[in-house]
Amino acid sequence: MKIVVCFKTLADYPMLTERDWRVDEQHQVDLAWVRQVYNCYDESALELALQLAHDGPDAAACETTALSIDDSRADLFLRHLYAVQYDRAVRIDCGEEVDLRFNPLAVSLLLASYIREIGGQQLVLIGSEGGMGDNRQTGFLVAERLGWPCIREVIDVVPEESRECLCVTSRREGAVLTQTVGLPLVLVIGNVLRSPYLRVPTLKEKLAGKKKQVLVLSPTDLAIAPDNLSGNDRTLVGLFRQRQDRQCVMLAGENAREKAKTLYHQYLAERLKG
Amino acid sequence: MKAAMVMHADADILLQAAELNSLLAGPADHLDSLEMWLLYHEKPPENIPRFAYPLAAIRLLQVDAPDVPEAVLHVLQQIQSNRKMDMLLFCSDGLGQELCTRLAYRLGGSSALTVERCLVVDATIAVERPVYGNNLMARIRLELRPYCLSVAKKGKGSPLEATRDTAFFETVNLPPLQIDWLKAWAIEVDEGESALAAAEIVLAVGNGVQSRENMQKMQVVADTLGAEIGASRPVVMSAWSDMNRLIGMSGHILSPRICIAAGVSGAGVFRGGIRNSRFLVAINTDKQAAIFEIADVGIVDDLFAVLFELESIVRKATAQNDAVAAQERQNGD
Amino acid sequence: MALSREAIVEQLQKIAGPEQVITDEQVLKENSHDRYRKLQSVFGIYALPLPAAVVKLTDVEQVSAVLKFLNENKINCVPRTGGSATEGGLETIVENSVVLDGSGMNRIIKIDADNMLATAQCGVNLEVLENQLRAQGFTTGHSPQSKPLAQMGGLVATRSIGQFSTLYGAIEDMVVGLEAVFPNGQITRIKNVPRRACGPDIRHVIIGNEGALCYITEVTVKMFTYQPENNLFFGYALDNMKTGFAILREIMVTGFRPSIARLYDAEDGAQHGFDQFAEGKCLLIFMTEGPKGISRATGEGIEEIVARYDECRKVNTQIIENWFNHLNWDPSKVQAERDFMRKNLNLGFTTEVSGNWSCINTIYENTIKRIREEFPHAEDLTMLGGHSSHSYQTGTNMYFVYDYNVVNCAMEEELEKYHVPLNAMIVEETLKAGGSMVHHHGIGKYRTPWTKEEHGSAYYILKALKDVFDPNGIMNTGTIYPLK
Repeated sequence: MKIVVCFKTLADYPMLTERDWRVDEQHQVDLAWVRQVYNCYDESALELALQLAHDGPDAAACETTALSIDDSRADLFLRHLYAVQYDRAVRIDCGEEVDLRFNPLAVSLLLASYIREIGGQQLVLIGSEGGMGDNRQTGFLVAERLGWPCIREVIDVVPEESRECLCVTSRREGAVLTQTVGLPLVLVIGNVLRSPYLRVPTLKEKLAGKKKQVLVLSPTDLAIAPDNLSGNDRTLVGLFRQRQDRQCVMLAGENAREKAKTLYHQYLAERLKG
Repeated sequence: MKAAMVMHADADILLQAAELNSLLAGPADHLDSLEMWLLYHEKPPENIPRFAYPLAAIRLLQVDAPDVPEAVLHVLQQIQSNRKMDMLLFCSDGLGQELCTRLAYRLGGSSALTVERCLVVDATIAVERPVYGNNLMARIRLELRPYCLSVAKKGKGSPLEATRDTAFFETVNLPPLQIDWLKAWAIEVDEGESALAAAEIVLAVGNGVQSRENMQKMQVVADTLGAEIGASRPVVMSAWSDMNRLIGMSGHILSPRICIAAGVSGAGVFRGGIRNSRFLVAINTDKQAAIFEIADVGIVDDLFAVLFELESIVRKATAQNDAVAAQERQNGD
Repeated sequence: MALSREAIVEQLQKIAGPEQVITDEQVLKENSHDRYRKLQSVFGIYALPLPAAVVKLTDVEQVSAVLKFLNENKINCVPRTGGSATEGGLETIVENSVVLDGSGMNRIIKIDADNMLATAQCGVNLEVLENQLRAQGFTTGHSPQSKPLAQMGGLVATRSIGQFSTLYGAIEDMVVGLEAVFPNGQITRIKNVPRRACGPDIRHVIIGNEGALCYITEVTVKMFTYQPENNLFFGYALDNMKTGFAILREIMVTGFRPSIARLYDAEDGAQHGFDQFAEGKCLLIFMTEGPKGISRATGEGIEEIVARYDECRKVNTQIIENWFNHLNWDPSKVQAERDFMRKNLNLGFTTEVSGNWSCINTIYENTIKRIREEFPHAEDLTMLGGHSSHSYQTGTNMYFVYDYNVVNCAMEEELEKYHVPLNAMIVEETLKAGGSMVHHHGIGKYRTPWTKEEHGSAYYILKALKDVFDPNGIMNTGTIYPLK
């Protein structure tokens, strides 16, 4: 089985303060100085794929690929993925001019083209959220472009007993769905409880990972003309920080008891009655 | 402009309708007709929401395998090829998002998810939706018809009223799709979910709770307050709370009467889940915590100290009220 | 005859009041250890003898009465406040120990803006004190990573140090006066004066005693003017630690006093994401503060000195400022670490040492080399590096950081297999080169095998303190002083 996990790294948003959210006239936010982290859903997807591939009895027959569309800053992460035993680390570089933040159609075209033309994988794992645009559409669109079935909000995947199929668990509104499915398949990964974090490589593995080459591809390598990427079903016309309407009243008091009293008598007693 | 709302009878359609209804405010004046396409599995629903806008038709679409989006898409594609809508509106849940995206792709239209506002600007459709981890809002113009939108979750709000007027009902019969990749499936219902979604009072607990044991203490506080417990992603991922208690952009989006957010720093994705609370109290030891930005009332203190005090005050007050009520009853006799 | 567990509890209840004496099993478990046994505690393993009780102390007279009782009956006690210790100093290794919890003595007694003195009880959380001071335009100048958790008593007892030490000094430079209770019940107060020459400085008997000599009940520290608007940040990437040490030295010796002066090696820097901006490089970080003119002049001085080293490349200061704003441990970070440890069976420790300028690079190089070559489970290491974060006129510290996967090993054996031998190699290499084996965590209970070697002939003085002040050996047995 050949598995590809498509991932994004993001600025570590909780590190940012109100004044850091400045949008320029080109609708860009300068986050170049902020440390990047794996998107949390993608991180779960990356670990899930490793477990599916390496912890089963068919480990030798599995091949794992980590794939990201990004500039060279992502290479650090891709080599880290080599260190945790990904077989291949691939980066698609579209150059600085192409803005893919709000273009999941183009992102899915690049991913699907890689899988079809070069990678040849049968199983795609992809986090449910996407990059800075939070588009939440890339996984669905990859499935459409490949013409493969797709399961969303996946929380676990294990080989089925006969090993012909996969057993996929996903969340539905108010329910948990378990499906036995064949390949090929796209899985959109949600909140994976069992193993949300990527494993930690040893020093030796890190060193080995650093020596490996990340495969860098351009759209042309995927037989995609630049025009095909600029086409989009939508156009970003504004990006802004929402004003918070509430004015928080800070309750003063000697101690917690005083504050709790004020909270109850001045604010909650009536409201609790409904 | 012709629009259709795609809804599914398995979920609470009155709530779905309330969310979709809010999206219609922008394009209302430009609508020539509005239809409802109602997907159902075994039995069509008896109650239909009463919209603020007149419905031209309600079309009932039966699907064999409601948990297989491919089967639903197949049905929607066929009806759209007959009806040729300019705009398709989808629910806020995962199915709504998936259908919206994939149908737009198949039809060559535009799509956007988690749409908070829909506007008509110079005869084109623009939407506003949260981006950058709910730290920024983007305004996006949709370029291609049909415009497919999945509304942002709003929380419970007020469900639309129901009507039993089924005069417009039209059952559409379509050939089903063969699904060969799905070998077997089972579905297990999860109880806790609806309790939190419907709660009027919510105790939203973050990482500050520190342990599973403390989480149980929070339950005592919640019980006294008559609140349901919700949790931030770190709390859920630490397994101190069940996944069905998750609050945030990928969990519950709530709008309770009162929300007490305790020990949550207030990352963008979490804030999105409680922002619509009608009254929001935040308790955190860090006075810089982002949660205070969206709170009505803030307390900088240890969450346990404050909540245990509050619990004791409320318990005493309730006991007192009960005693007074009992006394009044006795006097009445 | 030794008192039974029940009798100890009963007597303590009489002295301190029944509500102040806690015997709940979970509370006893949590009070039987500190962050040294963090992995075990995550899995609910409590291997040490549980204390007989935790006494929630309320005032100095009560502390005196409790200590007197314990001393007369030769019952071991473990003084404790915020509980963020990392070296086992809070472990109850003796059967039927009593944990003396001062966290309830949490009153800020006085903020004296005229004399720049802040007086707080032992259980005052440093962050609470600091926030109160800042609201009035002052600061303690003390900012250890544990600030959100640690309390004044423990901070003084362990000779703690903060991130701005290069300007403000460590806790021993900040403490003006103290109140402490000795095992015989004697309450001692050292008055608050700017300086005196009235015999040896007796504060140093109390500061850093790690609960092995007395119980600290009250602390008065200096206040400084808080003017963060003048803070300036500087960051430089470079290839070698040796160059970094040389630059640190030159800055200190020339007479500049930045509040932060740090040198990360590439491995440790990567933990903070610095590799994303300067992959494979060491990183020098400075923050200057104080009055505007001084802050700016210090910054200019640093820039001038660094400019003489071709190896250095300036790093975007926003990166440094952002790092600085997220440096501290708060309860949620501690929790996130616990969750990660449990799910990934991966955890990290630190060992902090110091040395003069002439030997610090030797300590760094020899230690890293020895661990790589000699540590039998090096294949399980996931991180090995360190940084220097506190510089002085005469030398600096080195903070070694190491993480490992726990492989083929019972939870109870994890420390013996990994941390203990790694810690030993660092201590041995440091002592061999002429440095000090503990820079700011305290000796605790696990670096005691080297206490005598650390002090050499001066151990005579250290031992005399114990003999005189704690003749019955009831104060935190096994801490600082090796078990007999």
